[in-house]
Amino acid sequence: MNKSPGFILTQLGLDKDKVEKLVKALDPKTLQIAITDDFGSSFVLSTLSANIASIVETNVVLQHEKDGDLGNGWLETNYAGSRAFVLRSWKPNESDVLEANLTFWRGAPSIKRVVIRHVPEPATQRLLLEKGDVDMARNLSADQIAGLAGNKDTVVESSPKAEVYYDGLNQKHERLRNPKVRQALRWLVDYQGTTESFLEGRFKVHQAFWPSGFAGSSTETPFRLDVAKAKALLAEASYPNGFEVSLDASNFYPSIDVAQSVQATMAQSGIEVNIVPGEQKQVITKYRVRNHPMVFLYRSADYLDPHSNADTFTRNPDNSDKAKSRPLAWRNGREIPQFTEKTDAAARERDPAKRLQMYLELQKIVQENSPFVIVFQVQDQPARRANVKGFVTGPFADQIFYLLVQKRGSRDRGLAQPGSPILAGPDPGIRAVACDAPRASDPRHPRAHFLRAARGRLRDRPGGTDRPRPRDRG
Amino acid sequence: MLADIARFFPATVGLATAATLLGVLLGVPAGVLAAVHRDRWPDHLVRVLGLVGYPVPVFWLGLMGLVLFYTKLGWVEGPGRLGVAFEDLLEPTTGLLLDAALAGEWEIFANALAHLILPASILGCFSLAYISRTTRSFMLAELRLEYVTIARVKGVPEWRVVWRHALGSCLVPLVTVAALSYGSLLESALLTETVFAWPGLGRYITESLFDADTNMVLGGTIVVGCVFIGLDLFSDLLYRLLDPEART
Repeated sequence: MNKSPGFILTQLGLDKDKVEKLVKALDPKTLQIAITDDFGSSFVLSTLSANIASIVETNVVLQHEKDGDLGNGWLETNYAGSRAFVLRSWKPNESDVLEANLTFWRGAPSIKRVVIRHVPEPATQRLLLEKGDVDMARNLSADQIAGLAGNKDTVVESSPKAEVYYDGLNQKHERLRNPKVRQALRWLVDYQGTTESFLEGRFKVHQAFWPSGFAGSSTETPFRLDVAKAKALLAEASYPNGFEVSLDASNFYPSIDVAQSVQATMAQSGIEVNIVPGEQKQVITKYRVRNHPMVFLYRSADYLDPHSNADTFTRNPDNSDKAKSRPLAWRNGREIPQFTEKTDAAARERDPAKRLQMYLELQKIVQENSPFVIVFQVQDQPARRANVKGFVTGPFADQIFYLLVQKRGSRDRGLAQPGSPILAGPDPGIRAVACDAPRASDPRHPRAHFLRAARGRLRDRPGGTDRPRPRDRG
Repeated sequence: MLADIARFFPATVGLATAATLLGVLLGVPAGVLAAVHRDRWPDHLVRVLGLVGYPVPVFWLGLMGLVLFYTKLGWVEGPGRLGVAFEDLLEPTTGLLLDAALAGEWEIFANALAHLILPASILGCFSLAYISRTTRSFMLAELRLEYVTIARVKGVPEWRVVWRHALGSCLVPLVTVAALSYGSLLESALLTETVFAWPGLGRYITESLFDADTNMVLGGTIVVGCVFIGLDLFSDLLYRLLDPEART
């Protein structure tokens, strides 16, 4: 509870001292969670859907406890649960191997093994997919996706992610504090041009802080590239010839590409944008202490409720430099006591319909007059072989489900995964576990089964194990 | 960090060693042939190949190699060190090929070798270009010397004059060239490792750099630096074996 993602639960009043009193197992199938604040039920249920907490087999993790960490360090690379797949091995930046949990309570998955390969180069992912040596490629670039068009052996899926990209305008800078300037900047982004060229498929135009496809999202996109309108607004703001400003952008795709596009369109109005490229960690560190003038970054929601983003875009209880809470509104120096109250009221609203309406209003406020120019929403585009079906990705990076995956034929291949820092590690969902987990020593446990198969192959080399030969390709 | 380096370094060593072997085994004879047949078609061929092999970006060459030999012709295995079917079957202790051979797992060995051929060949192109050009120039200088003329006058067979006497004299500087080439491949393997999804030290340093993980970058760089120093020392020691003058 005292780790950083724990804020999702601590905002409900749970903390490491109170958790044992507030969370109780009434019987083997009922868990009672008491909250200490007057929140709406839809908000509470949404926070509980976040993938940050899991029920683990107490005895297994406590066997690996080190320095009072309750086995947390061991769980980084190991498994102690009963989800559909068991983490068999995790080699950072190389591969993960998952094996089916044959005793899964909803029935064993139809595929026995999932191998996730770290393949940093999208072009290589595409070659592997087209050749049929992997069943899925998770992060092909827009040009690679376009290259797959017409290939009957592959299918490209598309699903929205709860992630938006925005320009943050630091209100400590006098020019960017001017409402007319902020308004002008909204008309100086080539939303359509970028999403129809180098971002095609991977991003779509979205101009509200809560991503589309989820309850309470505003899908209005009132802004487009209009240099004349922006120039008029700049003239009203007493900057008829524009001004010079720096834009921090990480070297992580597609930030630099978008920053260059913004630089070109803003130059048409006289605003000279100096791009300051940097490693993502450096850009975020600078952002967290409000040392940026303009920054291009993304916001990924923590849980599937509009409050997840409202809490950071429209809530800033303390705008001082010593503030304990530092949401995005703070990072951009926006003092907004009225919107902070409105945001808190929305979280406590018990009428779900009225609550969603309150978030729509907050989105409109941010869209029209705020230090955030929200530009795109991310779309996940996993490409798969046509004979593989049932792969489901949720709106968050850690929501990846292999349970329903079915594959025609008996080929056993892997999933190519890119070098994205967000996805490079093991799927946190894999470690989500429940209390009736079978032990590894249990002969029914899938790990024991595969260990036997692997040992048999290595030592005795018998024919007909579960593992196919590499040339068994359909 | 040491655990990470211990995990990634063997992959790079395997790749760079295979590439250097290719470079030496093909580059030295090519350089000798070019020198012997100076200004004739074998010489032109080696020089053109050297010119093409050196400046072409390894990133492009790697992708084209994959498209042709892996996707179209199916002569080699694809990216990665091992086929997915063999993933996690062998506990890594040293290098993958060595582990498989020591375990008597020849199917895994063959699969790992098939995965190694293309990236090693692509990386080896640079080593080959460099070694063939330097061998040619060393041999041209050597073949002009008087002892070569005297050997020919004495009726020593031409193959013996070229491959034994002249090449033997070139071996000392060639050892240094090969050692430095090996060191360069260790550091320049990062692009090859990226294209071929090869989990080696070069890719590890690059990804650490993008993650601003300074300790990892420094650690990896120090390891490569130490290898350079070690190779330099090793080539100095080899001088004593190859050059009788160095022993006196």
